[in-house]
Amino acid sequence: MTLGGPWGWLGWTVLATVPVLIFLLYFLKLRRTRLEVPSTFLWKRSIEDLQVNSLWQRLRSTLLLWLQLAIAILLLLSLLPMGCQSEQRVGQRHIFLLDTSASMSASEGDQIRFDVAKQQIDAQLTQLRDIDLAMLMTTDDEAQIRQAYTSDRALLRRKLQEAAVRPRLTRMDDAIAAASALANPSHVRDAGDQLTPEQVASELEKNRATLHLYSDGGFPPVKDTDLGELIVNFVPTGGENVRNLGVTTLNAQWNERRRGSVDLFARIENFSAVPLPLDVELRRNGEVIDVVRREAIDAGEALSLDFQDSLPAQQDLVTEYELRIVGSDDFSLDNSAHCVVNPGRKPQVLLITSGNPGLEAVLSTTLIAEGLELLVQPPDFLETDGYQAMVEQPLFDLVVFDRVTPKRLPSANTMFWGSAPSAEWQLTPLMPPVFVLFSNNTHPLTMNLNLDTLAFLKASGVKGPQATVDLLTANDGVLIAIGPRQGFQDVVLGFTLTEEENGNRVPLTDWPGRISFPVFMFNTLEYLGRLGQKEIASSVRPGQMIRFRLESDETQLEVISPSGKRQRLNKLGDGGFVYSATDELGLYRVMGNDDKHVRSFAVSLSDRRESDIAVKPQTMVGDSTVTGAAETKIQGDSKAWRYVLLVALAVLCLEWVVYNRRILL
Amino acid sequence: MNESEPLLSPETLGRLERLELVTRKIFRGQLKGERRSRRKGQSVEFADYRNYVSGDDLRFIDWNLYARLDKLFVRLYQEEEDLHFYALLDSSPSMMFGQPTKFRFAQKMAAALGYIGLCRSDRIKLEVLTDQVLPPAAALRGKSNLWKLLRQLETLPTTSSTTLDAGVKKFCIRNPGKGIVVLLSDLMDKNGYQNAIRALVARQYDVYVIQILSPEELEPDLAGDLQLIDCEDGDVADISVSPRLLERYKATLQSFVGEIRQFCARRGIVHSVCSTAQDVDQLVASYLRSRGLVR
Repeated sequence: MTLGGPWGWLGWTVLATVPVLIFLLYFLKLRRTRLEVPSTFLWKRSIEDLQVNSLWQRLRSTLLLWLQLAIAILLLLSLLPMGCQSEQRVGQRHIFLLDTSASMSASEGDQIRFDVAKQQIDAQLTQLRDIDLAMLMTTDDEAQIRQAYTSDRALLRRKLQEAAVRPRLTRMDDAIAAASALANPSHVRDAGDQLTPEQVASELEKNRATLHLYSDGGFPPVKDTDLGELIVNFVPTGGENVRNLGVTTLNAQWNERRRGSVDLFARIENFSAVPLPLDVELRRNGEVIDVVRREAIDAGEALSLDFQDSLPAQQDLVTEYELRIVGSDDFSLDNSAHCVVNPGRKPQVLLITSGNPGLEAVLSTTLIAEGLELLVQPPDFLETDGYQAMVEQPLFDLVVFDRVTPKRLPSANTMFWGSAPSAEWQLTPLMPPVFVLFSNNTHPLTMNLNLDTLAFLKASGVKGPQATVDLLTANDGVLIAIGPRQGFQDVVLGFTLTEEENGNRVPLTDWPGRISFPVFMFNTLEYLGRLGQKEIASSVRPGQMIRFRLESDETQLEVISPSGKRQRLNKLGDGGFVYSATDELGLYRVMGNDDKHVRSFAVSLSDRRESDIAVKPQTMVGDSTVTGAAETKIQGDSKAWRYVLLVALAVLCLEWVVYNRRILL
Repeated sequence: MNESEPLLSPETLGRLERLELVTRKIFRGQLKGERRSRRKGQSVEFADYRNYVSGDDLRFIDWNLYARLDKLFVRLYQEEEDLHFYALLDSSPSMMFGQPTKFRFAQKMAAALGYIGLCRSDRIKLEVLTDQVLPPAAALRGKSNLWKLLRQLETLPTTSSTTLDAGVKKFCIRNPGKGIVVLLSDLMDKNGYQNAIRALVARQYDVYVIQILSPEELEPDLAGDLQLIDCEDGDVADISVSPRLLERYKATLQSFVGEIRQFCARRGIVHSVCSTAQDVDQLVASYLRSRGLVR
């Protein structure tokens, strides 16, 4: 026999006191009606023997007391979730799966969609019979079993109330797979288990379950799931006539043509069934820098926006961008998106040369040297394990090969002086005189450089693979070209600055003496080595882990969440920091020593599926399409009569107290 | 029947005139009346003979008998005397209950019986039980005193606080004569009725006890939890009315009445129980006739 049910121990204790109170109240002094009679002589004689053993005589004659006690005890018994646990009585199994993703926070009148779903589940719990078992699961981007199978409805309700909506995306496959595994134990049983067909049938019967899915349907179709004995009841929660404008994309990129400028690309969609006006603000560090207004965006239409902004010159300044839709709609979580430009790190540059005073001189200039980490290695370095590691991992931003060719190219951008990176590149000696015909004024490396008057004693024509861009073209071939390589870029120069001849270093070009040479090198380091560039950090999804490194030596940082919560981070063994509490949408600020703002990262929803909050009447689960029902009906006891009995109990007590007016209060 | 009704209606008077009070004893009256006396007197009803002795009235010698027997015998006749009838009313507070009150009922009963007595030239006296020593009430005789009778009844003092026993003893002191005493009371005295009745018997009255109870006492219509207050001594009885209690009350009442009846029967007293709901005329004409008080 079990106690508990929807009332809990406290409730049962209170209810159990009712019969006792009724009993005790009968022994309070009664408010008797005074009545004058000719004589109490006969009455006294009549009650003489009744007063003997008066307690029990009184009880015997007090039919009302026994009647009230009987009703009260019957009521309590009816409320008790008592039952004999036996194998013959097998209840139904119900799995309540509640969607806690971001879209469930959409408004539904005065309530949010999530609360409506919780109320629906609560109502379904009331319908359960005492022998039924129910389980509560929640899912957003991760499934969670809130409460395993139990018949304790009070416990289920408590767990249901504890469940909260989170700004997460929706993934239903894990939750449904877990529910399917529970309903089909044969799917997860060890292969060695030997069960008779009767045992299998009994087990299936016992574990057969109904999955009640409370969601707005905003999740990808759940495929590759064998439902088996699992019955899915999809309860769409929410309405179809919604008003929502959402920012589904906000990206930032460096402007290739304007140094220090970023391009921001945004996409705003109208997920409503009616056209909606648009009013968007772009903020930089909290200040509005641009505004876009449209009279209306048609239903289901999207609007792409692009912004350009010049970053402040200050190197260590964190720039935070926020794109915000002004006004309110049914779903507020997608009304803003963020991205961040953090201070950049110094590029790592490796120079492999047997000695090149011109290059070394230009790399050691103050402007360049302060902005990068330069490592100079002899050509023998190419045979070492250190170089092999460079091949495997992007340890450097730019590797400069001076008259040497490696067997394998590193995982980095490269610059080749007088040598070809690979067989895809060809260097063909040019017949002197070599003079420049034109330079590419649109490419960042050679933009605005006057290279027309350069003189070359000896040079080779460069021919690269497809998509190679010529940067400097001579009379008989291309002197400088840049070509792509698996995400990297290789700059190949068909000449060198000097040449060893009889132990003497002979200059082959007058370029090192021109102003354009250090400018070209600076452009190269800036373009390929990201010299002086800041780091654009796009926003991450809520719940996603953030990893970052800092140039500084701080071993402890503090992260301030959008709501102001602070969390301390310690430097990990690999020198990085990891932050995982990204449950809030907005900007997280990383504070270093002396509470200095060292970087930020943004968490934005930016998901079309979550922003599309209109309820989906049907969804794909397993191999079948599940159509939502307005309300699922659980075949169970109707508990309404219990409340009627409770009212009866109240009326009984009221009758006793008020109608008779017998108690001396 | 209510309080404002006259004690005796003309129709009632007509019916009562045909009745007379019956006593099972022969008392010596003070005046010549219509009652046979134990004494031999000068009535028309022959009683006996006796030997003539000197000094006897020669008018009563039976000369026919002298002629046959040659002896002088004197004819004796039954003496006819008046009858003393006492209506003794209990005026305790308990008698003031009911609709009409038990006391009013007693007044009517006394008026009816008194009128019967007046019609038969009996000496009628009305008395109430009181603890005070009052002068003997004026005796009434003859039909012409009906209005006096009724006035006396209407002006009887009420709400006496005396007990039944003390009241009866005071009555006995005030009225040393013999006669019929009709005690009109509910006998609901916690000190008991026995001594009172014994006192009447001791004075050799021909005692009739008419116990008057109201319908509320015979069939109490009570419900709920009550605190009963005794109107005479303020005694309190807490009861929770239930069918079982009502049943027990009725049984107790029956036992109480039966006890009185048995007590009276042992002493040759006629005991009658009347409800105030009953009609006095009918009671007198039928019930009391069957009980032997009137004929």
